[in-house]
Amino acid sequence: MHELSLAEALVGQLAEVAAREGATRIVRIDLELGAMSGVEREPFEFAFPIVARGTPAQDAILAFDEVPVTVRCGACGRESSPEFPMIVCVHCASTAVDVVRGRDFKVRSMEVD
Amino acid sequence: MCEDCGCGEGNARAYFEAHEHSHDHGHDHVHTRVAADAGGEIHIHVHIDTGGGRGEHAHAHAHAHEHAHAHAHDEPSEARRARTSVMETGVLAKNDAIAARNREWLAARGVAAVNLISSPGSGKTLLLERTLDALRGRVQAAVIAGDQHTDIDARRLAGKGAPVVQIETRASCHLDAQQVSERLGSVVTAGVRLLFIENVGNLVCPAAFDLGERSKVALLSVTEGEDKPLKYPVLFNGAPVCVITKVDLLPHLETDIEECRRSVRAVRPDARIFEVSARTGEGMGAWIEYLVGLADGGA
Repeated sequence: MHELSLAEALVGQLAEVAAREGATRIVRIDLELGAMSGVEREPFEFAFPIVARGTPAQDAILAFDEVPVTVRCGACGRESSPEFPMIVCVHCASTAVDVVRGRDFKVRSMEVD
Repeated sequence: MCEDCGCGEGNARAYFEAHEHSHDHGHDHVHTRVAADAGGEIHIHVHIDTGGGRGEHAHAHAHAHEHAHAHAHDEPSEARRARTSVMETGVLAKNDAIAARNREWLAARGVAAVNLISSPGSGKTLLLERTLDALRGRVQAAVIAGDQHTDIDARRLAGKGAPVVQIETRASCHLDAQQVSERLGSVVTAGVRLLFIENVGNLVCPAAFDLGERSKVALLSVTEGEDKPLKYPVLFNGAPVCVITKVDLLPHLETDIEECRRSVRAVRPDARIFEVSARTGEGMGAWIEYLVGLADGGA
């Protein structure tokens, strides 16, 4: 259940930015959740309010953009999203691919009052 | 503006929770998200007209807003106090920054760190015991061992010529960069060129935390089943090296070693795979040569 650690990390980060901006309340948080980030949305949603209690993020809405794994093929040069967890080019079946999207779990922005 | 009713609510891309708000111009309404799936969201929008009429409609789209207010529609929208801070930072940015510092600290001392990750019981500690024996006199190594409880591993690994420290993570299911950072100074003594970080036995959580290692090494014992890499792809994709352990047991199992290799490569096509038995020594030579190369600055 490392989502609890992740929620703690996020709340700490948000509180720092909120303090810097003089905001007392965080209304909404936009998150990018990659399919290969190792983070599950549901346990994160469970953990977040527990950790956020008493902080400016207490009542914040979490908005997730779930990003599939995208690979770029070293053989044909095209990008594709193979069916996870397979790491292969959907176009030419080459395995000489780089993962270009879908690894990150990041906070894109937050809306504050 | 709210896309549905033009009520002046801020709108954005993704809709997450139900909200309600009221207007003082003749109708109240409630928005409720009732379903979300890959195809989008169904958003029910119910108008209750004070004049007695009642309109109800459902439509699918995505948007978001949350806050209540009241205003007259014939006035311009009130200035919103809410403002957006663009962040674009990893949720684990703090851990990653400490990991980057660890990496620099180690590189400055010519130390290569290996983060060993596997399920509990896959043979990390026995592999390390035999690895330290084999490296003794060739490459000075050190070990940070992580477990939820006990220093059993540190005691098993002691007396093999390598400084060892144990981290007891207690309730935590993984090591983080800060825990490693706090031990580097005591365990990486003069002459150390290779640091083994034996993570908490867990195929899920440790994969998300960079510790500052040169390389992640995933272990897969032949008793676990060939499909583990497919079931836990985040770790096996993130590890450029995979050690298949306990191969001496293969004659007693139905495990297909070729299938093990295939599933590792399905999630990490360029994985470097070692097949070893720490107990019999089979395959240990190639693993040790890889580590010596790593200590000498190789990939």
